[in-house]
Amino acid sequence: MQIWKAGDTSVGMCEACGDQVRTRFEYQTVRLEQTKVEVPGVLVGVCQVCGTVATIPQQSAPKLRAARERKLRSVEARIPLELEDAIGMIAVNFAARAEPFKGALARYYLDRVCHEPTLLARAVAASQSRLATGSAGGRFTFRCEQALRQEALRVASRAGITTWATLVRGLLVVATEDALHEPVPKRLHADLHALALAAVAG
Amino acid sequence: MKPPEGFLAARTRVIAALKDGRVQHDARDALAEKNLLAVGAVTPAEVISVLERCRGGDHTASPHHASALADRGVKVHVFETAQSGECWYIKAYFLSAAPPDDNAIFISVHH
Repeated sequence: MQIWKAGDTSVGMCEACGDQVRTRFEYQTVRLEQTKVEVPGVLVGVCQVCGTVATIPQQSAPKLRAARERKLRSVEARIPLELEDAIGMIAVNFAARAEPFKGALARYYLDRVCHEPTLLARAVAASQSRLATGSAGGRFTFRCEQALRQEALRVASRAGITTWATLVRGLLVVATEDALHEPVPKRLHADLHALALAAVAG
Repeated sequence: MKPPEGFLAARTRVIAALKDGRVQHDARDALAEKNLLAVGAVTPAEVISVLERCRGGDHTASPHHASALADRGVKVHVFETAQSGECWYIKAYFLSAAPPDDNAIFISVHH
């Protein structure tokens, strides 16, 4: 396996010069246009004539891949603003930072729905509830492993939930039913408290 | 000596470069979309596997789009094939036949 070091030279095609040029390898920040991810510390071949990045060696692929995966794990579902408010109230009740807590809460329920048929049945019903339906003016964005998203969707589709947004809405309504109605079951309270602590730390 | 441009020679040369890690990528627009090998979304082993299953009809060679390179006889090799329900498009060229600059430079790898 060829491993280039910063300072090594090679040849490449420079689009700016329109010709074959000598290149020198340097570590730079690369911007991936489609995902708008900026990846620092990527080895690139720089044109010795004009200073433009001409090539990227294969050894830089793992860094670019990791950056893309981090970006891809950010997922979104459109939800009613009222449901967004309700999730905010759960965060307040558990003294958690809202942004990291809502993602942790969503992942917690996505993981559970993969293994708990009763929760899945509740999510199906909740997805048709008043709080889950209507104008979806809110954007619920959080980080989620692709594998968890796929598995939750696979399980949910067997129960008739075919879209990601419907699944997320249903689960968030279940979360509000669980967490905003006293008394909160002891084990759930402990789990949500742990999520809240992690969200504060994060 | 100018390397041959036929399908088998081109495929062998690209596969050898992939196996040796003598691989670079053009710093192009839409890199993440058009060059999945450059961003690690596919591996060199996967590209080798696709190339090994290519047939002569899947390969074309044409002068490089940059006239300066075309004038020097640089050919761009395109391997376009449908395998396992996926259409693959692999586009690469070489600027030199002599080490240490005999790297395969990929323009596109996507499916």
